[in-house]
Amino acid sequence: MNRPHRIARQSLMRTLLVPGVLLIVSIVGLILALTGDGTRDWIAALLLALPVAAIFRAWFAPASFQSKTIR
Amino acid sequence: MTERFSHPSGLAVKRSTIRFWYLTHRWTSIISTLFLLMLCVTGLPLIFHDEIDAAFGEDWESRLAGNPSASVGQPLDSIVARALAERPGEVPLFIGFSQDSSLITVTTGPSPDAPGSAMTLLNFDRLTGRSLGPVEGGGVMETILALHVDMLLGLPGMLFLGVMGILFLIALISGVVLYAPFMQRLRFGTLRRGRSKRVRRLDQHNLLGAATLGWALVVGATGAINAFADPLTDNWREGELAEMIAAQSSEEPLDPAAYGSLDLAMARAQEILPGRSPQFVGFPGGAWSGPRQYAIFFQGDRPLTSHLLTPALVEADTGRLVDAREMPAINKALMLSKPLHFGDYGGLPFKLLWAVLDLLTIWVLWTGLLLWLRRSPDRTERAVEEIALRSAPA
Repeated sequence: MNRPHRIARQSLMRTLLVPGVLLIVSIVGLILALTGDGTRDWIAALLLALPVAAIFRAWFAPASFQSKTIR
Repeated sequence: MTERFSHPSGLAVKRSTIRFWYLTHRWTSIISTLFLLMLCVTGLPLIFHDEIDAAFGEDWESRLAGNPSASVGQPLDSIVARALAERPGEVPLFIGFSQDSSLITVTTGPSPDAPGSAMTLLNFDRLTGRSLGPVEGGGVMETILALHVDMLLGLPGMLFLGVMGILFLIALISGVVLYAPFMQRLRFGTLRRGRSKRVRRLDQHNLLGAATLGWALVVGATGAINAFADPLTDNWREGELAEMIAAQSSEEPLDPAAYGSLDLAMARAQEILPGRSPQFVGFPGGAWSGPRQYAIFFQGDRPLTSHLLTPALVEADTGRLVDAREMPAINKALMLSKPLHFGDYGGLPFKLLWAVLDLLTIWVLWTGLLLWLRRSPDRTERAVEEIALRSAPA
């Protein structure tokens, strides 16, 4: 079967890199908003927007992005 | 990495490990999903409870904005006197302050130990002393909150939802354990197009689940903590407050007629807690005070510590300060779990993102549910095989 999405096997670190970064920025954002108002709230919102942006990017990415392989 | 699978039994162990996590993910999810969907749906309006209350209720907080009742206005004693004039024969039970407006709330009841159902809440403008009438209760938002907290079933409902929260956390962790080998040959965010509905749902489930993991872990963990927090709060109240009171000579309840000046008690407490703002006062004889003492609960003066309470006990008849103590660390953590769970602390853009993450989580739960409902008979073995092969070297 044609599997255009398949890429060379990545290390565990590489597989979990993006979810790991998103995990850390969202937790930092959640706590940051608790420690202050004003600027901190805006930075917190920006950090919390990153997971949403990542989903948005993947969801609306052209098919070429989806099948692009990394070696 | 290759060595890991070189032994013939290596892959077999790997498969049994995958099967264990696969079944863990499946069963913790199946049991909790419907309740989690209910929590996500009811939680959505709760994020915006301030805005909704302001739009539909008598929005005293913004109409009386400025001159916070926690620090300025008419003497507390005169506000209490006005409340008692409205409720003849009753006694004062609590006073609640606002940090943003001159709104102040006085709770009265037939006796110092009156149950919640017998209490009356009255609003006042502390700046002018004007009565604003009783606090409206029982609205739609209150029902939604009650559904979210305990499904209207009291403590058993709350503890049950706490267990669902723990299952959710296990489902998240087992999900990550399965995600790692599954995604080893796929880029983050891959949505395989032109494939079956099942593949599409699985890819969406993986993408949304992986991206929202941090938020889901925090909201899930704080939700579970909140569900089990009440017994711990009672414990602190009964332990710490009782200890603060124990050194006192008399345990005899104080006659409400003998209550001295609350303004004097407030001044005494603020002498040793300068810069602190009061959040509420428990009158003598109630669950939140001593038999003869006012308990004044102060919040911290910084954004983080404003979520924490420090009680000061003052003898109601003599105005003598008894004690003031910080909460133990465990109770501080419990108090911080509340805002972290409800997301109502970071301004409107923050709340909107919180709502988006909540909706995305609903989609994760929904796709997960469909993946299970539309499964084929030999699904488990095929899924285990698929994940095992993906993580094996080419």
